[in-house]
Parts: sequence; structure tokens; C-alpha cells
Amino acid sequence: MIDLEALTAAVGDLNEDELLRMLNEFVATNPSPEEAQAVVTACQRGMAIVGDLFENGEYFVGDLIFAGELLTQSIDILKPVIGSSNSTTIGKIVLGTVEGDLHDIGKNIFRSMAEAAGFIVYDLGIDVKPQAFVEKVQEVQPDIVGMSGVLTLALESMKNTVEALKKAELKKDVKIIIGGNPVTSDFAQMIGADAATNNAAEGVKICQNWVN
Amino acid sequence: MPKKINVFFPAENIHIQVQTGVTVSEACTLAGKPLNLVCGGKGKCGKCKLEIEINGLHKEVLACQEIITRDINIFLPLEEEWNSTQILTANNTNLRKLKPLVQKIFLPKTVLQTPPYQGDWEHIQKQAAINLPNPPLSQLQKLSTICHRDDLTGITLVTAQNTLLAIEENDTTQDNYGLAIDLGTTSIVAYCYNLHTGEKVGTYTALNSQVSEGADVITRISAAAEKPEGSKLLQAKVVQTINGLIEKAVHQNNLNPNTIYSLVLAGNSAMQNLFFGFYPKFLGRAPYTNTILSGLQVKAAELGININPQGIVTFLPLIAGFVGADTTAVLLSLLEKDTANYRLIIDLGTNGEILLGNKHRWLTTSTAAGPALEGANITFGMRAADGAIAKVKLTQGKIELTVIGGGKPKGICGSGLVDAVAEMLKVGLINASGALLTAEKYLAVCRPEYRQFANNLQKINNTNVFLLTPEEQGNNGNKIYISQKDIRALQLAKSAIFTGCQLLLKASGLKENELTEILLAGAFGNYIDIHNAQLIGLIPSWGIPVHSIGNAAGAGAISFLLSQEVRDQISPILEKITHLDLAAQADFQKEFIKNTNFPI
Ligand code: B12
Ligand code: FES
Repeated sequence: MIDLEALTAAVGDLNEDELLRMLNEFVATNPSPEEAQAVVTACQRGMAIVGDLFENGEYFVGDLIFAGELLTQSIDILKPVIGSSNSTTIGKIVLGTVEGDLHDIGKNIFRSMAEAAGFIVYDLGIDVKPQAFVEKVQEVQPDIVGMSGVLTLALESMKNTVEALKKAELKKDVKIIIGGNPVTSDFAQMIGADAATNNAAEGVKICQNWVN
Repeated sequence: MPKKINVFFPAENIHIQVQTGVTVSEACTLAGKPLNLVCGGKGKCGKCKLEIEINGLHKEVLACQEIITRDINIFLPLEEEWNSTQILTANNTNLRKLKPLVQKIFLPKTVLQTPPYQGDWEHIQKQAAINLPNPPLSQLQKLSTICHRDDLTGITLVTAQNTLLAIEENDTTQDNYGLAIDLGTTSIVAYCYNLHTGEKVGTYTALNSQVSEGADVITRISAAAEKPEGSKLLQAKVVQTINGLIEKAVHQNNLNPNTIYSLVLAGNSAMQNLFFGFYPKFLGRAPYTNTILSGLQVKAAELGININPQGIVTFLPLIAGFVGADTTAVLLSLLEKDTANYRLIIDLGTNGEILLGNKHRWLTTSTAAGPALEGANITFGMRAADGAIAKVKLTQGKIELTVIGGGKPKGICGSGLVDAVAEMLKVGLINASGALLTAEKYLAVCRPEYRQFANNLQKINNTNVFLLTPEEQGNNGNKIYISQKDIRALQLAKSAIFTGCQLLLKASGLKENELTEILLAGAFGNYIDIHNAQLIGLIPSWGIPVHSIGNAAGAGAISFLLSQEVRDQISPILEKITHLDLAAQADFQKEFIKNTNFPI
């Protein structure tokens, strides 16, 4: 039987060789879908470690990207044994960099990590007007709306976007998470968003809790 | 009646009265000692910490947060004594053929005999062989009283580029002064010139008093855009600082301010917007537009600048978005050395402006490094002022620090940070991805002669740090350290600059070895250790020499003030410049993330 703790640690350490070796060995034992699901959970727990290490600076943007890639790779290896009843899709996110801001590196990192964690992400790109968020939410009815912004002046756009969602009576159907260097939980509360983070890995964790 | 509260600044011997509800930082501004509010007074950066005394009790507070409710003593931190701040004023301006922006023409009494039935003004223009359309009414009124006076030796016309500024009594051609100003986000440098002889009279520097509204241009733009009357407020502050510099020049050289007829300014786009009192909101966010890019000439009186009210204030043209008049000025300063050789020019600052080209064409971009190199976002970061660690060397088990002013270290400035990280890389305390090793991991890999450094690796607030000073050495017994997060902040900043250089090179279609040199403009370029800056990947190596050219923006403004040739070159130069939008480059993200790593 696979050592789940060692697996979690391998993800946390970004130890690609060790992780892939363990997963391939595991798949070769022809495990049940339940066992496979437990392995997926163990991998995702590893992402929480990555998030903590990013938080105190030990990991950096490149590591986050690599972690996202590792997780995608892991899920691909596991797919044949996860079973069709256990869909790998856990929720839908509409994501974009808010109006007036063209910075998207942070947003892209969050997207790839969220996708790796099993979300379907509709990425609206950069400089996204409040109305564009509203229209996409109406169209795809996501669980979560994610907004990104690094300019101080982008905070105002986040506020406008939340208001536009409220006005279109969509706010009650979605959770809103905001991300980017200048956002704070206080600010999220003030504008009526549900969470704020400067850490993509933490953001993924928050989203996972919402859809569970 | 609201109660007045006494505020004392014991060291400066200042006493003011304020009303309750005023913050300590506002009181400092009222007392003429504005603090550098790095986070704009949001209580986030902790850089405004100072000591106060109420009822004999001393405590340390955040000046931007502490509200004054009773009589108080405020102890300004030493570094706030601006005059000790190092600002670069050296530059190599070679005097061209002198033909200043403002010229004075003396007409002796003998030629002032207007023929019967003719106009005085037409006669004067004919005598001076000059055509000056639309003379100001006030000056014609003056002319009507002095043109026919017998007690004068004649009159002097004050002209600038085919306009009449003023008419003066007698021969005043010797009294013609002008100032070239490098209007920086943090510091302002004024070079005063005698335009009659072309000689420099003096150099004067001051902290831009807009710092009380935030350290970086975006915070200033926000302040101007969001506060009621914000644009006016920020304009008033910078005008006040400039007037202070003029006052200094006038005072120290016994000049009459009315003999100063010209002011030439170079500064970044945000500084231009705020100097003229524009509403700058759309410069701070997409679409990053300016109200006017062209060079702008305005009467001094209109701006409240205390030179001759008829004098002219010229702001050099901006190039595009955040690439401002400082970049224009850098190119003007290089005109003499204009060659067909390709060069890369980097102006290191919060906003790094980069130029690549030769005398036929220039590519330019701005890259948002952020203020890490000026000490913001760095735990012990500070500007290059007294008490700042400016150089760091790790030798056989010892840490050698050079502190500005020679006293105990209080913090670390940009050049010190670059050194520290480079040295830590060299001895293996930091790996290529920027992670600071734990003592245990370090000991497993380090060279024997560097083992002692393991003692300086600690964990503070759950973050790995490297101590630069053992406890006793720092000011107030502070430990001064470089934290893992400081290294991360530097990585983002250096990658932004390096990636900007890289993509500019790519867009030019040139290869590294087709360039002949890299020039570093701005104060920072003179202080950093170039080798260390290359080692951490802040500036490229490309196998070509790197030279510092000092305050090239200031030098460019001076040459505009003094030389007609230079002024004539403005339009042709602007036509040769193409602006590259980094955000629109598909490979920016990939390269940016790769370049956050250290090139070992
Ligand atoms: C890279 C960069 C750029 C690149 C952007 C490329 C791109 N495609 O994004 C370029 C060079 C083009 C650029 C340009 C500009 N920039 Co810029 N830029 C930066 C820089 C160096 C790093 C930003 C970054 O990518 N950080 C790394 C990412 C990974 O961090 P992050 O965004 O915070 O994301 C993390 C989390 O917040 C989270 N996250 C992010 N989004 C989301 C969303 C959700 C839903 C969730 C859950 C999580 C999440 O996940 C990420 C990983 O954990 C910073 C300075 C600095 N040192 O920080 C300035 C900075 C952001 N830029 C700044 C400015 C002003 C500009 C310009 C407007 C002006 C200029 N100087 O030229 C231009 C305009 C550009 C444009 N046209 O938009 C300022 C903003 C100041 C302010 N207070 O508003 C900064 C702070 C620099 C400064 N002080 O001058 N910039
Ligand atoms: S904490 Fe006071 S200015 Fe930042």
C-alpha cells in the first residue's frame, strides 16, 4: 500500500522523481477508485504545504508554477484508476484581472493551480470590465468568481465589479475571491467579497473548501 | 473653540500649535519637516516610526497613525535630516556653444530715437534686428514710460525663442540666471547657471515634499486622484520645494530673484502631471495616458514659481506612458557622444526606464521594478542616508559593513542590499532559486572557511533570515538582517529590469555582441557595485563594458537651458524613439519568472 504521508511530503518538497515513481507504482497495483481518491487527496494536501512555504518566502513564483504542473501531471497518471464515478471536476471559476490593470502573472499562476486541483476555469484575461464578469457569470453559472489586481487603483475596479454582480442579482449565487499583492481581508469585507489572499495556493485551498 | 495643542520638536527647536485629531505625521508636515510616508500613511510599512514624549513618557509610534490629543514632544529620526541624504549631482556636461534659452539684448539710448510718427516697438525691433510678435501688454506699458527717458543708459530686451518676456531699464545683460531641475520622485536637484557667462553658480538639493503623500508615483497618483483637491495639494507641495531651492540659490549668491528668467525641468511622467496640477488618474491605470506629452512652456507667475513673474518654466517632453521627460533628458545629455554604435541605457529607479539604440533610432520601455531598491518593502530598508549600510562584504568568516556617516547601522539601502544578496549567493547561503538555506542545510554544503556564517542564519517570525549585525552592533541594539522575503522582493525588482532589457534587445533584432556598452543613469547607478549587480542579474553582462553616467537627466536639462543646438534636436530625437509596451509582449511572463532566479 502506498505511503500517503510520504506522498504528501513529496508534493510539498516538489520532489518530482519521487512523486512520479510512487504514483506509477501505485497505478500498477490496480487500485480501487476509493484508494485512488485517497491518493488524490494526499497530493492536494501536499499543495497546502507548498502554500505555507510560499507564505514564508521559502518557495517563490517559479516553485508555485512547478507545483501546479506537478499536480496536473499526477492527476493525469491517476486518471485511469480514479474511475468514472469520481469525476475530477470539482467546480467552476470565472477569473480575470480587473478593469484598468494589465498585470496577469499572479492570475495565471492561480489559474493553473486551480485547474490542477480540478476546477474548470473560465479566464477572461486582463483589463476585464465589470459587465464582462457579469455576462460570463450569467452564461456559465460558476461556483466562484476570482478577481486579480496588483495596482492600488485596481482595488476600486474590484469594488465596482462586486457591485455590478450584486446589481445583476448574481452575488448570492457565487463566492467571490480576490487576489493580488495589495488586497487584504479587511478590504474584501468592505467591498463584499468573501475572501482575499496574496497566495495562489491558499486561494485554491479556500476555493476547495467552498465547493466541498 | 477647539483646543490648541502644543507640539514641540526639541532637536530642531520648533514649536507649533495644532488642533486635536491631527496625526503626528501631519504635525511634522505643518512644521516644515515632512516625513517620507512610504506606504502613503496607511500604517502598513512601519517606515514612519519615531519617538514621542507625552507627560514625560517616551514611546515609539507610527507617525501616520498616532493622533495627537495633548501636548507632545516629537523626536524626528536622524535620517529625516534631508541635507545629509546623498544625492548625485556630479555629471559631465561639456559646455556647448553658449546660446541660452533666455537672451538679453541691450539697446543703448542712442538707438532708441524713434523717428517721428513711428511706433517705438517697431523701431526697437528694427534696431535689434529681431522679430518678436505679440509682446505682453504689461511690458509695452512699461516701454511707454521708459523708452524716452533721458536718465537711462538704454533698455534691455529679455527674450526667449522669439518671444518678448520683459523689458528692463538700463543694461542688465549681465544679470541673467536660469535653473535646470531634475524633478525626482524622491529628491529634487536644482542647478543654477549664470546664462551670461554659462558658468554654474551652484547646485541645490531637497527632498520632494510630496513624499508626505507616499513614496512611489502610484501612491502619489492615487493621492492626487482620490483626495478632494488632491491635484492642487500635490502641485502646491512640489512648487513649495522648488521655491525653497530657488530661495537657497538666491540667498547663497546674493541674487535678485527677478534676474532669474528661466526654469527647465526634467522628470518622470507622474512628476510632470503633478507639477502642472493635472488629474492623473488614467496614468495610474490602463490606458496609462498623459494629458500632454509635448514640452510645455508656462509663465512662472501662473505656477507660483518665485522667479521673475515674466519668466518661463519649461517641462521637457514626455515620450509615452511612464517613459517621461527624464528619459528625454538622458538622450539630450548624450547628444555630443551620439554615435552609430548601439548602446543600452538603464535608469535604475522605482520605474526603470530603459533605452536601446544608436543615433538613428531608439527603442524605449519602462519596467515597474518597484521601490525595493530604495528600501521600501525591505525589512530594514532605508534610503541612502546616515546610518544606512551601503556596502557589504563576506570574507573569511567575517561580515564587513560600510555604513554611511560611519556610525552604527540603522538599516540597509539599495546598494547594500544588492551587495548583501550577491555576497550571500557567492558563499552559498542562497541557492539559485533565491531560497535562503537553513543553518543545517548550509553546513552540509558550505566551504569550510565559510562555516561561521551558519550562526547568522536564524528563523524570526517564522521566516528565515541572515543576520548582518549581531545584536549589540545595530542602532538601539537592533539586529539588522536580510530576510527571505527581502530577497524575494529584490528578485521581483531585478527580474523586472533584466527582463525589460532582454525584451528590448529582442525587439531591436540585435545580438548582445552588437552593442558596445551599457550606461547606467541616475544616482543609484553610481553607488551600486556593478559587478554584484550583474552577479544577481539586475543588469545584463552581455560581455560589454558598463559605465555610470551620473545624473544624466539633470545634465540633459542643463544642456537644454544652455544650448540652442540641443533645443533644436528635441523634435528630431523624439521622432527616432519607439515605445515598447512590455505588457503586450507574449514572452514577458515566461522570461520574467525565469529571470527571478539567480544566474549561477
Ligand atoms: C511584473 C510587473 C510588471 C510587468 C507585468 C507583466 C504581466 N504580464 O503581468 C510589466 C513590466 C509589464 C509591468 C508594467 C507596469 N507596472 Co508593474 N510590476 C511588476 C512587478 C515587478 C511584479 C508583479 C508580479 O507579477 N508579481 C508576482 C505575482 C506572482 O504576484 P501577485 O500578482 O501578487 O500574485 C500572487 C498572489 O497575489 C496570488 N494572486 C494573484 N491574483 C490572484 C487572483 C486570485 C483569484 C487568487 C485567489 C490569487 C491571486 O497568486 C500569486 C501567487 O501567489 C511589480 C513590482 C513588484 N516588485 O512587485 C510591479 C508593479 C505591480 N507594477 C506597477 C506599475 C505601476 C506598473 C505600470 C502601471 C507602470 C509602469 N511602471 O510601467 C505598468 C503598466 C503595465 C501595464 N501596461 O499594465 C506597480 C503598482 C503600484 C501600485 N501601488 O499600484 C508595481 C507594484 C511596481 C511599482 N511600485 O512601481 N509591471
Ligand atoms: S506605516 Fe506609516 S507611512 Fe507606512
